Amino acid sequence: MKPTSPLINLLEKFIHDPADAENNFALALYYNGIGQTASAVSYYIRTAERTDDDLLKYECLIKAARCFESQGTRSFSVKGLLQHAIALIPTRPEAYFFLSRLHEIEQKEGDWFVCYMLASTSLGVCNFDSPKLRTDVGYPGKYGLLFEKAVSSWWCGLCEESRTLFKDLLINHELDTTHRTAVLNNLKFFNEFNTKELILFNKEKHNQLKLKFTDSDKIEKNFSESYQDMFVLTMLNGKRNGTYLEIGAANPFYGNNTALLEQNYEWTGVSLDIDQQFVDAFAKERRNPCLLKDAALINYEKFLYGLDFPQNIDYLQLDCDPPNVTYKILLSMPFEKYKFAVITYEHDYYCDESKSFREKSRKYLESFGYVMVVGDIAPDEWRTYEDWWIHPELIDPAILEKMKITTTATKKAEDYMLGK
Amino acid sequence: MTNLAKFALDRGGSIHPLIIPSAQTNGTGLMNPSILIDNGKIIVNIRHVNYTFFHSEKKLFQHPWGPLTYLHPENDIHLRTDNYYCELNDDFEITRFNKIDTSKFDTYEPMWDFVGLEDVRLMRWDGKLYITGVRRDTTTNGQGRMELSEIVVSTNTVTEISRFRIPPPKDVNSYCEKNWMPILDMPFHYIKWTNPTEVVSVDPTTKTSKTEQLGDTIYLPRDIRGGSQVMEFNGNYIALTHEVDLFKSEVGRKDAVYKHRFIIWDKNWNIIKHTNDFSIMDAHVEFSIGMCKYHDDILITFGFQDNAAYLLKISAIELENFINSH
Repeated sequence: MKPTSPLINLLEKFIHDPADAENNFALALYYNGIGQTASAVSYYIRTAERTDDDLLKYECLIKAARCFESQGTRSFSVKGLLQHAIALIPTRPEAYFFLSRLHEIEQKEGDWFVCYMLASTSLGVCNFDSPKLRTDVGYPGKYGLLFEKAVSSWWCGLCEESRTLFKDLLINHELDTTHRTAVLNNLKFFNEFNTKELILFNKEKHNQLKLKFTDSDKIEKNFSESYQDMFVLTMLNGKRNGTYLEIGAANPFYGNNTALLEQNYEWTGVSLDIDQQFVDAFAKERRNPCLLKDAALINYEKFLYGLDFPQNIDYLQLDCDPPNVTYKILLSMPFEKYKFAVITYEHDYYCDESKSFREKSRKYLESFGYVMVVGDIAPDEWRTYEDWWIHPELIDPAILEKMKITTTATKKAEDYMLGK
Repeated sequence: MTNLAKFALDRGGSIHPLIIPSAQTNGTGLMNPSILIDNGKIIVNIRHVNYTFFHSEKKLFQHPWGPLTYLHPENDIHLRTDNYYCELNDDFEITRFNKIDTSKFDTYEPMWDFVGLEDVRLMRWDGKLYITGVRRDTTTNGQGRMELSEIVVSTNTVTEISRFRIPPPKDVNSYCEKNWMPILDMPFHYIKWTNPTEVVSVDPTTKTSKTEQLGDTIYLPRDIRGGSQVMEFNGNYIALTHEVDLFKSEVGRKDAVYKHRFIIWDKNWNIIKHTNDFSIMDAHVEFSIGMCKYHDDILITFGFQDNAAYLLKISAIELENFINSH
């Protein structure tokens, strides 16, 4: 005998007691699940009108609203149902989120202000520890409302609030891919990812250095964005005549990681960049060369061999955008033949949409015996972007012991280097 | 109020959903199916609309437009109907569906909000397969006329090949003619109105219609409106009709409750029996335009709140029991 379909079973139960809210709800969920949203709406509304459970009523109103949303061009109906839901339980966040988002999407006159009002109100009045609904209604969590507030505040002219909210979302919330991408795009749009002013080391800060090194007192100022040059010299105790390979060189001095090594400590090495302007500037302003190359396409074993690099190289900088490119270059490094005493690796975790390349790079470097001295270095409090590594065979263990920290929090580079 | 579906299920009957995949329909309403046993094959027409019916039956969560409303796309005020021809297997599962191709005759810009042939009944007359329903899109005031169209079923298509807009037999200026019930074994005859029973014949060749018989009025609390096809049943004729309790909410907004009734005629079109009113499956708005005999069973197809379509099977004997006990 052929088994009865689940829908027929549900219909039979319903027919025997059509006033029972659970029978209606089960049918609504089934129809919703197969995309028959009109049928689902019928049973959701019937459920909402037949149950004594306010939470179930609330859930059905949201589900029905989402059915209309999926049919498209029925936002007036969506709004009506969500307004019912808010009126029913004003302290739950889901309906506020969907209504706020709808106004964000519509962008008709005045919608930004309604969106902002709803998001702000919900963040003020809702209990975010409310009991869970029975089913997933598509509500992402509190960050969804923070996101709506962040977007709408910008268009309401509250730009600083918007920036602060977007940064908070990126740093303090586990976002889904859609929201993370949107947050990153907004922060890029605000130009928040670009360093506006470098926080440099200078002579006045010398006494605060966590670990002083040979001739560190003679350094007037450094050049790196986040003390990378000072870190390299610290780990190698101010080594002179060292060697480096700098991948992603950019400007010859401003924010550059090898200028101090070359200028104060007579290092030699090769820089690579894909931008002709930087290569030309290097040729004018620096002693060591910068080559115009796509760093992702180089056979590094042949490259290093051809340039007579020693097998133990003092410093490797890996800094290319976006994070997947830097990781690809890392994988092409000839670690079996060459060792690097110090590596600064830019994973750009803060803007990595996949959030995957930091972990991948760590596993890969560890597999070649490298030790992470400090992870999640940032130029400020939030842009977690680099890990700093050493090879233990090439570094004084006493220095490593003094500089190594294992906490997972974001570390502002200057605080780390000055021992704050 | 009695629930016909519960009566049927309690007595060995069964219920079957009629669903066209949502990829075809955008999830909007599938409703008011009609059914016919055509040369041994179970065929069904399902009406698909571009709207979703909203009914706050208990008035607790009304739409801003009221407790009962039709929610069409906000960028298109038309309430559009398409029709899907379907074939069913013995388990009443859809094995084939095709949107009926009406392009040969849909060559004009619709002139009113309701577009398409609504509430289509199926019948085979003189060896040809027909659909018949009401169309209101040919005039700017929404005048409704019954239409009769022949359809041809091919391997991969179902096509409308003729269209006859039926003039009313008497009042040629009447506003809306709809829900005429085709008599399955009397080609080109309808029950145009139930109480008093008015039988009309139509002639696609001369493009005319004629009242053949007008019976006496019997007492019933509401107007009896058309429903299923009219079919032979135990030596008489039967149809499943509907009636509407149309009212306004306290704030003046439209609301309605539909009820249903079996009507039995003798061969001379005298109403010899009718049931009390009943619900089919408990919704306040339901509508049946399909009924046929299949082996020892009666198959009744109906729409639920304009949003879902179902087939109810009840044995002919139990249907008779229902009629006799209600």
